Amino acid sequence: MSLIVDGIVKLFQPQADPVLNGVSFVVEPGSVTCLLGPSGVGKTTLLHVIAGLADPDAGTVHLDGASLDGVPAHRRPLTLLMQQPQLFAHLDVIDNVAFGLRVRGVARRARRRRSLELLELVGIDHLASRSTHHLSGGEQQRVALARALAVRPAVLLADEPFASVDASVRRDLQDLVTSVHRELGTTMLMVTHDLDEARRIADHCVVLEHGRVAIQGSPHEIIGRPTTPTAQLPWSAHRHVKTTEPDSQRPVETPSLVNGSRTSGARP
Amino acid sequence: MSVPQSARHGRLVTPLAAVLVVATPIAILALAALSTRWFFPDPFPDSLTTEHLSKILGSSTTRASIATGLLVSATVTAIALLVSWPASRVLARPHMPGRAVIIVLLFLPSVLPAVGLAMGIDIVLLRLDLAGTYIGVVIAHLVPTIPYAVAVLTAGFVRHDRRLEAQAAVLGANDWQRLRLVTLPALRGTLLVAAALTFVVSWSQYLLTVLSGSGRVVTITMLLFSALSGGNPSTIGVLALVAASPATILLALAGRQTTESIAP
Repeated sequence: MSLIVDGIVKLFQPQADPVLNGVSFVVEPGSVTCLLGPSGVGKTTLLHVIAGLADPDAGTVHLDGASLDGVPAHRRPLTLLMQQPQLFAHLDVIDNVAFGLRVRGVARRARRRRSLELLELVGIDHLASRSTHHLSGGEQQRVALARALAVRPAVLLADEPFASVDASVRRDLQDLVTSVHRELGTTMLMVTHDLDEARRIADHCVVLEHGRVAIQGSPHEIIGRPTTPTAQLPWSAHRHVKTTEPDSQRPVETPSLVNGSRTSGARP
Repeated sequence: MSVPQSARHGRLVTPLAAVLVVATPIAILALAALSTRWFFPDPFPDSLTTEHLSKILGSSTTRASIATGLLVSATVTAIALLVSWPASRVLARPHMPGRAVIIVLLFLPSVLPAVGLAMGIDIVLLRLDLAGTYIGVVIAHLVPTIPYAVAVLTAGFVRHDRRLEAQAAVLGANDWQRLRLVTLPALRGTLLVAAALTFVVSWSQYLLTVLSGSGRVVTITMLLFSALSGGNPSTIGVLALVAASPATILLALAGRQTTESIAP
């Protein structure tokens, strides 16, 4: 299903500058779109607006042609994978995965079967009856991913889901998301400020700057060639690539904006 | 690294002293309840019997007062928690202005002289024609109990991660499902502690119950105070033990719950 974000404006205080100032872009069906931008630019806020956790001051979100205006979060056919796994501590792994099915009234046996399938897909079906207290950070995020996918969301929103794990686990999780996406074809909109992550996962990238879409296009277009001067970046993300991958033996590629198509909202 | 013996002994002294301070009066009450004759300076009673215990527990007055006390305190606990839950949720919001002032104001009636407070509440109840009724006693008990419930629940909500509820919402849980399946289980320990404290504060009210109940609503605490003026140690012992039982059980449960929620 296609997700259309159309002119979203969000203010935290009436007199202050808007955090989001007319953000518009389209997430194509079955694609993985990465939302990039520096910290504080409003990426998480935008995901919350799309998920129904925050109301926009202007603009609309359309899913497959239907407006989501006024639709509460629990009625939207979307799920959100948060930065922290946010597992329910009083439930074991399988009941966490089954949570979304339970609130939809799916019978116990059917939801356990579906949850086990998802746990198998993310490679931790052997942990099904384990308490969430005893899981590593990577395992917890796998449970959260399985839980988000269990309800077959029309769009999976993900807010820097790998930010809280170390570099080696992050790489595994990125590969997992890629393979899960290949298997299920779920439309995804993922926030990151790791350009390398976007390059590995995304079909399309949207870069936010000063509350607007600064540039959007394929990862190749956005991140560009290694020789391009870093000064052209909308923010100093190349430093983030260096700092988040201390174990990487590969030379750090310098991202660029070459061939990036600027939108009408872009600043010069 | 081994811990020196003196340090180990030092660690034992404090809990042992605490147990002695709490256990000694209860042990003396238990002995008094079961004694036939026990006069100063005898260290122990002459002989022990369950005669007083069965006589007092078998009395219809005692049973009725226990039932009334349980009914009043259970109702007060339920209402106090229902009222305090949303209030605490608001008070626990990040950057909530005036949180400390509101909690101090809530506790203000509890730090006023008990007679003044009880008289004030009694006058209000008389005007409402609720003095001497079960409802009047419940309303009177809400004044000193709600602050405890609010204080405990607010502390719980401050620690509670509201993103869990947002997560549940995006997984499809409506308001009721979020409360039932996420918030209540997450705050189970806090809720039990708040319930235990509220119940115990209500259960032990004497002056408020006497005045607001006009002597017609009789709880076990009132019987105990009457027995104190009678001076019979066996009767005092039995009634004191009965009066202390629900509070002891609830606080033990709440303590266990708190320990479990703190333990990794």
